[in-house]
Amino acid sequence: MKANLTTICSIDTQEEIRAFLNKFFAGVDDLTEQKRNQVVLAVDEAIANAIIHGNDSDTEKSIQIDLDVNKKRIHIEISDIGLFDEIMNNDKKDKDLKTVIKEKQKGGLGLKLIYSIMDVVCFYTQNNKSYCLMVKLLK
Amino acid sequence: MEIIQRYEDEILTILLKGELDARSSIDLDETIKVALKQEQTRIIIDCQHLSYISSAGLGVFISHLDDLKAYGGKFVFYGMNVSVYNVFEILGLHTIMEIVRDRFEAQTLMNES
Repeated sequence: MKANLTTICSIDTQEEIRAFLNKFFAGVDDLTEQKRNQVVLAVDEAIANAIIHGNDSDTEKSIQIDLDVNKKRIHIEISDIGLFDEIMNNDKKDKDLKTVIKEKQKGGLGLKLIYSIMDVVCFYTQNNKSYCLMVKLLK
Repeated sequence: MEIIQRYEDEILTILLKGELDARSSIDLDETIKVALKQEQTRIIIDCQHLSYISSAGLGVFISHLDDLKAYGGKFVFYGMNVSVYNVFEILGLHTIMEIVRDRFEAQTLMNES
Protein backbone atom coordinates (compact mmCIF):
# COMPACT_ATOMS: atom_id res chain seq x y z
CA MET A 1 0.00 0.00 0.00
CA LYS A 2 1.53 3.30 -1.08
CA ALA A 3 0.57 6.96 -1.07
CA ASN A 4 2.25 10.33 -1.37
CA LEU A 5 1.44 13.95 -0.74
CA THR A 6 3.15 17.16 -1.79
CA THR A 7 2.41 20.33 0.14
CA ILE A 8 3.69 23.88 0.45
CA CYS A 9 5.96 24.83 3.36
CA SER A 10 3.39 26.33 5.69
CA ILE A 11 2.24 25.24 9.14
CA ASP A 12 -1.29 26.11 8.00
CA THR A 13 -1.28 22.87 5.98
CA GLN A 14 -0.51 20.54 8.90
CA GLU A 15 -4.10 19.83 9.92
CA GLU A 16 -4.83 18.70 6.37
CA ILE A 17 -1.69 16.55 6.31
CA ARG A 18 -2.72 14.84 9.58
CA ALA A 19 -6.15 14.10 8.10
CA PHE A 20 -4.45 12.52 5.07
CA LEU A 21 -2.15 10.43 7.30
CA ASN A 22 -4.99 9.32 9.58
CA LYS A 23 -7.05 8.19 6.60
CA PHE A 24 -4.13 6.28 5.08
CA PHE A 25 -3.03 4.57 8.31
CA ALA A 26 -6.62 3.62 9.17
CA GLY A 27 -6.32 1.03 6.41
CA VAL A 28 -3.22 -0.61 7.91
CA ASP A 29 -3.86 -3.91 9.66
CA ASP A 30 -1.90 -4.58 12.86
CA LEU A 31 -1.74 -0.89 13.69
CA THR A 32 -3.77 -0.11 16.81
CA GLU A 33 -5.45 3.26 17.18
CA GLN A 34 -2.86 4.30 19.76
CA LYS A 35 0.05 3.32 17.50
CA ARG A 36 -1.62 5.08 14.57
CA ASN A 37 -1.94 8.29 16.59
CA GLN A 38 1.72 8.01 17.57
CA VAL A 39 2.93 7.51 14.00
CA VAL A 40 0.83 10.47 12.80
CA LEU A 41 2.37 12.55 15.60
CA ALA A 42 5.93 11.53 14.64
CA VAL A 43 5.33 12.46 10.98
CA ASP A 44 3.67 15.74 12.03
CA GLU A 45 6.72 16.59 14.17
CA ALA A 46 9.14 15.86 11.32
CA ILE A 47 7.08 17.99 8.93
CA ALA A 48 6.86 20.89 11.42
CA ASN A 49 10.65 20.82 11.79
CA ALA A 50 11.09 20.74 8.02
CA ILE A 51 8.67 23.62 7.45
CA ILE A 52 9.74 25.92 10.29
CA HIS A 53 13.45 25.23 10.74
CA GLY A 54 14.46 23.61 7.46
CA ASN A 55 12.62 25.81 5.01
CA ASP A 56 11.84 28.99 7.03
CA SER A 57 8.12 28.58 6.25
CA ASP A 58 8.86 29.59 2.66
CA THR A 59 5.60 28.92 0.80
CA GLU A 60 7.50 28.93 -2.50
CA LYS A 61 9.04 25.64 -1.38
CA SER A 62 7.31 22.29 -1.05
CA ILE A 63 7.61 19.11 0.98
CA GLN A 64 6.85 15.61 -0.23
CA ILE A 65 5.72 12.75 1.99
CA ASP A 66 6.00 9.18 0.68
CA LEU A 67 4.28 6.36 2.54
CA ASP A 68 4.87 2.68 1.92
CA VAL A 69 3.36 -0.11 4.02
CA ASN A 70 3.80 -3.86 3.89
CA LYS A 71 3.01 -6.61 6.40
CA LYS A 72 6.21 -6.01 8.35
CA ARG A 73 6.68 -2.26 8.47
CA ILE A 74 5.59 1.30 7.72
CA HIS A 75 8.15 3.24 5.72
CA ILE A 76 7.88 7.05 5.65
CA GLU A 77 10.12 9.39 3.70
CA ILE A 78 9.94 13.19 3.86
CA SER A 79 11.81 15.54 1.53
CA ASP A 80 13.17 18.22 1.17
CA ILE A 81 13.62 18.70 4.92
CA GLY A 82 16.37 21.24 4.32
CA LEU A 83 17.98 21.01 7.75
CA PHE A 84 20.30 18.06 7.48
CA ASP A 85 23.35 19.59 9.18
CA GLU A 86 21.30 21.15 11.98
CA ILE A 87 19.61 17.88 12.85
CA MET A 88 22.80 15.84 12.68
CA ASN A 89 24.41 18.21 15.15
CA ASN A 90 21.35 18.56 17.34
CA ASP A 91 21.65 17.40 20.94
CA LYS A 92 18.07 18.33 21.88
CA LYS A 93 16.75 14.81 21.51
CA ASP A 94 19.12 13.70 24.27
CA LYS A 95 18.33 16.59 26.60
CA ASP A 96 16.95 15.76 30.02
CA LEU A 97 13.34 16.94 30.49
CA LYS A 98 14.24 18.93 33.60
CA THR A 99 16.87 20.83 31.60
CA VAL A 100 14.30 21.61 28.90
CA ILE A 101 11.99 23.04 31.59
CA LYS A 102 14.78 24.97 33.31
CA GLU A 103 15.90 26.53 30.04
CA LYS A 104 12.25 27.38 29.18
CA GLN A 105 12.64 25.81 25.75
CA LYS A 106 9.67 25.75 23.46
CA GLY A 107 11.41 23.48 20.98
CA GLY A 108 13.43 20.31 21.15
CA LEU A 109 10.67 17.95 22.18
CA GLY A 110 9.67 17.07 18.61
CA LEU A 111 12.84 15.11 17.96
CA LYS A 112 12.45 13.34 21.31
CA LEU A 113 8.97 12.24 20.27
CA ILE A 114 10.12 11.08 16.83
CA TYR A 115 12.95 8.97 18.28
CA SER A 116 10.66 7.57 21.02
CA ILE A 117 7.90 6.53 18.63
CA MET A 118 9.69 5.26 15.53
CA ASP A 119 11.90 2.17 15.34
CA VAL A 120 14.30 3.64 12.78
CA VAL A 121 15.02 7.35 12.20
CA CYS A 122 17.56 8.43 9.63
CA PHE A 123 18.49 11.74 8.00
CA TYR A 124 20.46 11.88 4.77
CA THR A 125 21.19 14.01 1.72
CA GLN A 126 21.16 13.01 -1.91
CA ASN A 127 21.47 15.21 -5.00
CA ASN A 128 21.30 18.40 -2.86
CA LYS A 129 18.04 17.29 -1.23
CA SER A 130 17.63 16.39 2.44
CA TYR A 131 15.52 13.43 3.51
CA CYS A 132 14.04 12.14 6.74
CA LEU A 133 13.42 8.41 6.71
CA MET A 134 11.35 6.80 9.45
CA VAL A 135 10.33 3.18 9.90
CA LYS A 136 7.75 1.68 12.26
CA LEU A 137 7.81 -2.09 12.59
CA LEU A 138 4.47 -3.87 12.70
CA LYS A 139 3.64 -6.80 15.04
CA MET B 1 -8.49 25.55 17.37
CA GLU B 2 -10.63 27.56 19.73
CA ILE B 3 -9.26 29.00 22.98
CA ILE B 4 -11.90 30.03 25.48
CA GLN B 5 -11.00 31.72 28.78
CA ARG B 6 -12.93 32.14 32.00
CA TYR B 7 -11.64 33.86 35.13
CA GLU B 8 -13.47 32.99 38.32
CA ASP B 9 -12.49 32.80 42.02
CA GLU B 10 -8.89 33.77 41.16
CA ILE B 11 -8.54 30.81 38.83
CA LEU B 12 -8.14 31.17 35.06
CA THR B 13 -9.64 28.30 33.08
CA ILE B 14 -8.44 27.90 29.50
CA LEU B 15 -10.63 25.62 27.43
CA LEU B 16 -8.89 24.17 24.38
CA LYS B 17 -11.14 22.99 21.58
CA GLY B 18 -9.62 21.19 18.58
CA GLU B 19 -6.02 20.44 17.66
CA LEU B 20 -3.05 22.07 19.39
CA ASP B 21 -0.18 22.08 16.88
CA ALA B 22 2.61 24.37 15.65
CA ARG B 23 0.04 26.85 14.29
CA SER B 24 -2.39 27.04 17.20
CA SER B 25 0.33 26.93 19.87
CA ILE B 26 1.29 30.48 18.83
CA ASP B 27 -2.16 31.71 19.95
CA LEU B 28 -2.03 29.69 23.17
CA ASP B 29 1.40 31.08 24.01
CA GLU B 30 0.07 34.61 23.57
CA THR B 31 -2.95 33.83 25.77
CA ILE B 32 -0.72 32.58 28.59
CA LYS B 33 1.68 35.53 28.27
CA VAL B 34 -1.24 37.95 28.66
CA ALA B 35 -2.51 35.98 31.68
CA LEU B 36 0.92 36.20 33.34
CA LYS B 37 1.04 39.95 32.73
CA GLN B 38 -2.31 40.20 34.51
CA GLU B 39 -0.91 38.06 37.34
CA GLN B 40 -3.32 35.24 36.59
CA THR B 41 -1.02 32.38 37.53
CA ARG B 42 -3.44 29.72 38.79
CA ILE B 43 -4.41 28.16 35.48
CA ILE B 44 -6.67 25.19 34.84
CA ILE B 45 -6.45 23.72 31.34
CA ASP B 46 -9.74 22.14 30.25
CA CYS B 47 -8.76 19.41 27.77
CA GLN B 48 -12.18 17.81 27.36
CA HIS B 49 -12.41 19.02 23.76
CA LEU B 50 -8.71 18.79 22.92
CA SER B 51 -8.33 16.13 20.23
CA TYR B 52 -4.59 16.41 19.44
CA ILE B 53 -1.40 17.86 20.88
CA SER B 54 2.07 18.10 19.32
CA SER B 55 5.39 19.06 20.86
CA ALA B 56 4.74 22.71 19.99
CA GLY B 57 1.71 22.68 22.30
CA LEU B 58 3.63 20.92 25.06
CA GLY B 59 6.46 23.42 24.60
CA VAL B 60 4.13 26.30 25.44
CA PHE B 61 3.24 24.76 28.83
CA ILE B 62 6.86 23.80 29.58
CA SER B 63 8.21 27.24 28.75
CA HIS B 64 5.87 28.90 31.29
CA LEU B 65 6.11 26.27 34.02
CA ASP B 66 8.88 27.87 36.08
CA ASP B 67 7.43 31.39 35.74
CA LEU B 68 4.10 30.20 37.11
CA LYS B 69 5.82 28.47 40.03
CA ALA B 70 7.84 31.59 40.79
CA TYR B 71 4.58 33.53 41.19
CA GLY B 72 3.00 30.80 43.31
CA GLY B 73 0.81 29.51 40.53
CA LYS B 74 0.63 26.37 38.43
CA PHE B 75 -1.09 24.53 35.61
CA VAL B 76 -3.64 21.83 36.37
CA PHE B 77 -4.94 19.80 33.41
CA TYR B 78 -8.17 17.83 33.31
CA GLY B 79 -10.37 15.90 30.90
CA MET B 80 -7.58 14.58 28.65
CA ASN B 81 -8.46 11.84 26.18
CA VAL B 82 -6.25 8.74 25.96
CA SER B 83 -4.43 9.91 22.87
CA VAL B 84 -3.46 13.32 24.30
CA TYR B 85 -2.44 11.78 27.64
CA ASN B 86 -0.26 9.29 25.76
CA VAL B 87 1.82 12.15 24.29
CA PHE B 88 2.53 13.41 27.83
CA GLU B 89 3.44 9.83 28.82
CA ILE B 90 5.88 9.29 25.93
CA LEU B 91 7.95 12.25 27.13
CA GLY B 92 7.51 11.55 30.85
CA LEU B 93 5.59 14.80 31.28
CA HIS B 94 2.73 13.03 33.09
CA THR B 95 5.03 12.78 36.13
CA ILE B 96 5.87 16.49 36.07
CA MET B 97 2.56 18.09 35.12
CA GLU B 98 -0.50 17.93 37.36
CA ILE B 99 -3.14 16.00 35.44
CA VAL B 100 -6.47 14.96 36.93
CA ARG B 101 -9.70 13.46 35.64
CA ASP B 102 -12.34 16.14 36.07
CA ARG B 103 -13.12 19.76 36.91
CA PHE B 104 -13.84 19.03 40.56
CA GLU B 105 -10.45 17.36 41.09
CA ALA B 106 -8.72 20.17 39.22
CA GLN B 107 -10.30 22.84 41.40
CA THR B 108 -9.56 20.90 44.58
CA LEU B 109 -5.92 20.45 43.58
CA MET B 110 -5.61 24.13 42.68
CA ASN B 111 -7.09 25.24 45.99
CA GLU B 112 -4.76 22.99 47.97
CA SER B 113 -1.79 25.11 46.94
